[in-house]
Amino acid sequence: MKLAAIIRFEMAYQLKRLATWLFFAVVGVVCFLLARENFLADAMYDDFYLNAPFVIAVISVFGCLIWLLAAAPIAGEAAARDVQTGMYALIYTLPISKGQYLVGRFIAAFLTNAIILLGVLAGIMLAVYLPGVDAKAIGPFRAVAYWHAYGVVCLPNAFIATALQFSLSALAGRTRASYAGSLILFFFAYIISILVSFPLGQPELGKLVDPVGVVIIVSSITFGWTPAEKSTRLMDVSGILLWNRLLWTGIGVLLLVITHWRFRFAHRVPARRWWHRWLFPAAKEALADAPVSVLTSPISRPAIAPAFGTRDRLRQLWGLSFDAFLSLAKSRAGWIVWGAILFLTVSITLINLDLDGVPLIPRTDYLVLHYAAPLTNPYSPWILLPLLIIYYAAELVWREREAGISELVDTAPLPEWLLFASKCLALALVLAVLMSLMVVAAILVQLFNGYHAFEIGLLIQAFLGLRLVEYLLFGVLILVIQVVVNQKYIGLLCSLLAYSIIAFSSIFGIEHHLLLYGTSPAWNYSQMRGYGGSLKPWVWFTIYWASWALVLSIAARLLWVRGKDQRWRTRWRMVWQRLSGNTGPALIMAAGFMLAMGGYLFFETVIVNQYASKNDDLQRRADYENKFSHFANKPRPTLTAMKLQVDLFPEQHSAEVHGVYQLVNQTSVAIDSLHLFVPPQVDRRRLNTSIKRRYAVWDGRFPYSIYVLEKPLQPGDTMQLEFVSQHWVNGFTNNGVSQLVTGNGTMLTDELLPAIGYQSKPELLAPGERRRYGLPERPVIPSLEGYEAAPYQEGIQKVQVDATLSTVAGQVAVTKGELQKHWTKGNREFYHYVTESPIPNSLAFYSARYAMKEKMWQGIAIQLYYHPGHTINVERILLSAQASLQEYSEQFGPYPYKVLKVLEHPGLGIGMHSESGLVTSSEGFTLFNPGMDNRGMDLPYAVVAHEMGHQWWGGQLPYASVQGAPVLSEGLAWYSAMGVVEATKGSEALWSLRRFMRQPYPFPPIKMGVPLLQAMDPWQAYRKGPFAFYALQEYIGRPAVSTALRQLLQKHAGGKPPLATTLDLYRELQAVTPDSLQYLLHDLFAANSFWELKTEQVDAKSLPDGQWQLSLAVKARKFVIDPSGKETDVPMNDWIELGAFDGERPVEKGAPYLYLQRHRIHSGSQQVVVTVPRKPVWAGIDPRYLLIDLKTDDNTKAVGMVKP
Amino acid sequence: MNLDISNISKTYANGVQALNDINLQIPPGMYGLLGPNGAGKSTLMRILATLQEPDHGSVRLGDIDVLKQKDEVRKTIGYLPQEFGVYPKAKAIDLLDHFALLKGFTRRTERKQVVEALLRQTNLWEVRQQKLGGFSGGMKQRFGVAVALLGNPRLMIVDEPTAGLDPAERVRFLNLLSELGEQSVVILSTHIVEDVSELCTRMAIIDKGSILLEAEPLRAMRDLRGRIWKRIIPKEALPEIERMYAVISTKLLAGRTVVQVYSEVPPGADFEPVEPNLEDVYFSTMAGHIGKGPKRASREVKP
Repeated sequence: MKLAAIIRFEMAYQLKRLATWLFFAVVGVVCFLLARENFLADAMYDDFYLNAPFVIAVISVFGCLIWLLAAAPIAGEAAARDVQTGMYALIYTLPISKGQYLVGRFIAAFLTNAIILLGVLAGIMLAVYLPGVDAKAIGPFRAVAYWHAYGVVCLPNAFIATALQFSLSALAGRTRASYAGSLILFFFAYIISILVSFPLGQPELGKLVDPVGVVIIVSSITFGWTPAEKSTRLMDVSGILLWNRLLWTGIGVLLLVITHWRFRFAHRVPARRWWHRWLFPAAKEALADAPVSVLTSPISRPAIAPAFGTRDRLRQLWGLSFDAFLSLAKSRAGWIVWGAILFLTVSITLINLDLDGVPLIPRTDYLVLHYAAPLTNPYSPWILLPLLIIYYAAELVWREREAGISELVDTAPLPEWLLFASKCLALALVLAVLMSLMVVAAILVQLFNGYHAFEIGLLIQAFLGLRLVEYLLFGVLILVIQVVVNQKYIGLLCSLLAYSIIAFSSIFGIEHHLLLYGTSPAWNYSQMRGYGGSLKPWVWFTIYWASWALVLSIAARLLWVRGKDQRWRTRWRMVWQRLSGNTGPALIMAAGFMLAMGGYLFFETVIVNQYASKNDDLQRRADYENKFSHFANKPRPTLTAMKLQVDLFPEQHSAEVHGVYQLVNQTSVAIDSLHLFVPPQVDRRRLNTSIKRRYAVWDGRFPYSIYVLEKPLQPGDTMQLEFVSQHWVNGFTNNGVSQLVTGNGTMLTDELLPAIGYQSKPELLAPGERRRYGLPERPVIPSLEGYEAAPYQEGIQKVQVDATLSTVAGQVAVTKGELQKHWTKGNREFYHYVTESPIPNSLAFYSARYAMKEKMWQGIAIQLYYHPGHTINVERILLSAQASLQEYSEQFGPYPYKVLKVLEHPGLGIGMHSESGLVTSSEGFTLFNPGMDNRGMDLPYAVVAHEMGHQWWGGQLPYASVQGAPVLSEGLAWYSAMGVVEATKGSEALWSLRRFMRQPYPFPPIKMGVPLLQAMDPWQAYRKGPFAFYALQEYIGRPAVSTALRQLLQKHAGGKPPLATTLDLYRELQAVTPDSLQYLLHDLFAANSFWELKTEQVDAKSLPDGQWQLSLAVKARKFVIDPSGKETDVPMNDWIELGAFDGERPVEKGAPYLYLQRHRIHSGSQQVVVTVPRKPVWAGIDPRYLLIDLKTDDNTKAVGMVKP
Repeated sequence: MNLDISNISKTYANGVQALNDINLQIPPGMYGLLGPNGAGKSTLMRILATLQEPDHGSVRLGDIDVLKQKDEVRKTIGYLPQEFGVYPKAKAIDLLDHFALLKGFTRRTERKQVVEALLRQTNLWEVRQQKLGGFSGGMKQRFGVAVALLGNPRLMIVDEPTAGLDPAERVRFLNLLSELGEQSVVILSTHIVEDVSELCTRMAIIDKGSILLEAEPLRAMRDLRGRIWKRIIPKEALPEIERMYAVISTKLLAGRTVVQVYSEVPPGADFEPVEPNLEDVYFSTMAGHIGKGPKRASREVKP
């Protein structure tokens, strides 16, 4: 009875509070927005329902995260309100037991939280059923989907979080301690679990330690389920999910038991434990009053008068700020925060300092971009920083009032601006410490890695300069919110809301930085190009937002609450009173300045640099397609040669291109008009055609012009097109400044050259977008069969290029082709390049202060252009490129050019790119430090070999962009690279590489899907494809596979339609595969087959002749999986290797194998007996993992010995 | 310099009229504001201390408009609120130093002198290095006085300072205040009559937002001479007495009931005259016999 009364009272109390319903509303609104803005688009794209069980489950997880951060006061209040308010003396003396009290309060808090979490379901239902959703995206209503998610995700989370928050608050006797509980759980869910999953490589453990379900639900379902499953399947409450829920519920119960044990119905005497005495030795508890006589001495004070001059005000400002700063910085919590941030930053970086397992050099430019992410990026651990700012700002604003000295401070002769400014300055000091910790962490990471090329100036500039300002602008906003709202918890909520709007602005449809407080086009830094002009827009926007901050600060000063009367009526009256004096003019000036800056930025980004919102852009692209796509099949002349004069002006960030195109009518009809795709950089007035044109048609909104020729271009005839194209940086846009041409590190792509005929590049691809803009539906990628049947096929234009590049003295200008001549004129350098044979039409022009290293191989010059100082991988790249040339020339056919250029360009991306005769990589590639890789493999070496592969697969074999295209390019390129690694580094290195490729990241295996011939997904292209080629190679021999590939190349090298598809590849492979293995070719390429091979038992006994008899009990299964995930067993009788070896683990091939032979293996269990020459240690089925078997660790087993 | 309070009214959002057309002229010296709990004392004190806005009226301190020139007022007042907290982890000397900075002592060396003098004055010098969290109520109160005294205020506003002090602390504290009264205007609000009678040269009695009586304590007592009578009665007789006489107070004295009545003429033989003290002034005022409170017909005994 008493228990029920306690629960009832507490529930009634909580449900009557406004805050409770605010939390409910926040959770509901966030879930609504998530569903509408995030999942609606995905649902349309991916063809699952908006109200699919999967969507409901994932949104529930995020709803729980928001609830966790916002609703901590519920449990805190229930647990510690009595102590905090002093009510405890009345409660503890009532005839109730400690158990009843704690259990009652806990249950009430838990139920209240459960009610708040119903907001998740309410938000989702509103998102589904309020108007504005395409009816196609809504599936039938299933109540069970909602209750299942609520029961599996929300309720256990509510229990776990409430238990932790409640325990901490009850034991600490402070309501606020519940926030620590929230932070701990958030920390586990976001940081620890992701750390455990990825850097430590324990994904299962990661799923277990995640108390909220972010990893377990979001990652496994989002990436593991097919669309059909996503729409219908409920999560199985079994396996790791069940264990996770049980584990954390158990932890929750344990916490409650501990709380019951430690909690006392007693007056709280500050307990001092040993560590507390050690930390704070000076504090004494009880004080004896000093001996005092009843009579006091006459008042005699030094004749010092207070002073209120400007300097005195500044001293007061500093004194106040520093005192407030110390209160945050020197407190126990402060030290813990500093220590934790430093420790976590350093340790996370040290753990994470690799890519695909290859150690990275902690170069300063890398750390600068990875630490303290900008506010607009919530998907990083640095979300902690804005959250800390929100917390600290609240503490600062409420410091005096919470300590009860506000009346003393409020009556002190201090102007309001000084009080507010002191909060800002204190926050700035806190941020300065946080940013200094970033600097220290960066230096520590470099020291631990033995990297000594410190760039402390850059670190200070980036963190204590740029990031500090960005965070401080945000901090001022949060301070203003707290002052204006004047209610701490509602202020915290509003702050979180403000942060979410900034961080998830795209969800709210806010794109322009003019509208999004504190944001600006992001700056970037690279060693090659420095800031590359990206600071200029940053500075302008930051000044603009600083003037906003000033206006807001003045508003805060006007609304600053002093004294008891906090009604809005009084505050308004005070505003008018306070506007007297300098404040009014200051406000007008600040607002005027803000408007002037805003006006300038509007002019710059919207009018001068025509701003288009995302929707405007999509609309324009849709209009383009509607208006011009019917010209796609119109006969057009072919571009056969181009002569370009490209003048680069790095210092002015500008370039000018003069070009002449040679156009030939290769069709069989006369062409009466020339259709051109004209980028805005091309000056239409300076376009000239050698055949006079009668008139031209164009619409300024589209990059499309039609020139009607006076005299049609007859079949076989030629005409010229002359053009001038100019690139210059005209101020900046909402996205920042163009970095195509910068002081050092120009990378000017061919997007400023005109193209012939209708170009499909701008067309919308996503089905949802196409639907929205009324474009006809069509598959994202044409089907394989459709291509072969299509009447019209676009070929790859190959073009002869003659390009003269000029750049500023001291820089090298590079493009495709062979350098004919280099000369200097005045202070400019000229480079004349000509391609020795036509190349696919795709160009880019580079210029930088490059260092160059050259290596000759059989008359082919391998030239590496790199940023001086980025030397770590120079030799490796050259060696790999040379080995690749050697290997591929032998296997697939000659390299078609005399020069191979490998070139570094600015940017911290890690990838490489390969086109005819030119392999490019961004600066990030020079972070790789494979020398420190302890896996016995050299991934960058293999990556270069892969890119070299593209010189054949893509470069020489143009392929049709239809299904299976990535298998032709990426699959063959990786297969080729495996050959280079084996030929130059040995079979052990190949084994390591294949082991790396079997790992689930970066490409987790996707079982359900189409056969390899139609595959589009990265796992099939980058992993399964190369495995299939390699397996085939091991079964039918390398020469056979190479023959097939050589044939494929020869038949399609011209680039004339029809282009190569995987079906052509398959035909060539069929031609070289013996009949006995055609089944295998089919299984690998034409069906989505998987094998499950297992060795159950291996026994050996020695034979009298010194040999050993080995009997293997193996089990086999082969099955296919269709795209919806349905498995069908296929009876098998396949040739599969059985092997025995005298080492501890399988190896690629070679001496350790005592036995390696193919046997016929049928489905199910079977026994095979073989004889081997020496004593075997390990043995099993498919020991080299040739077939597609996702579980390889049961293929082999240690050999058991049987006494003869 | 005088403090002139004219026509101050204040009504709270919940309809409670805290102050109703208050007019007071307060000269230098100790001024007592006496009234029961909830009379509006603290509201008035906060208005004087710039922490609250009245609905009507004006307050002038010398030539400063207290309601409009808040910054100027704050330079000249010292305020000791009824309740205040401290940073429990801060040392007395550090927090006082902090407040001295806020009050405009911006030079470190001068500030040190000021702080030392005040700590000695308030007898906190010995405990200056102790954390404020360990201070007793009296020590904390004295710390508050030290804060209020910073900057030689010409107007001291002291709100219910003696509530919760033990007798010795209270004496000590009142002594400190009386020293102050020699130099500036000190307004002391209290519901303890002795505080006023022991200290103040002038006083006002306030109830339900109105000033009932404004007087000098000594004269008020003198004026009441011959009108206060007392009688020792059995407890059961109280209702009867209350019906017949204007009882202003009832006390127990060693277990017996003593009633005091207000009467301009001797109420009867059973009553003996009493030399009026300030408490009698207070109760007579509250009962409406003197001052501006709602007049109550003094129940003359009709023999």
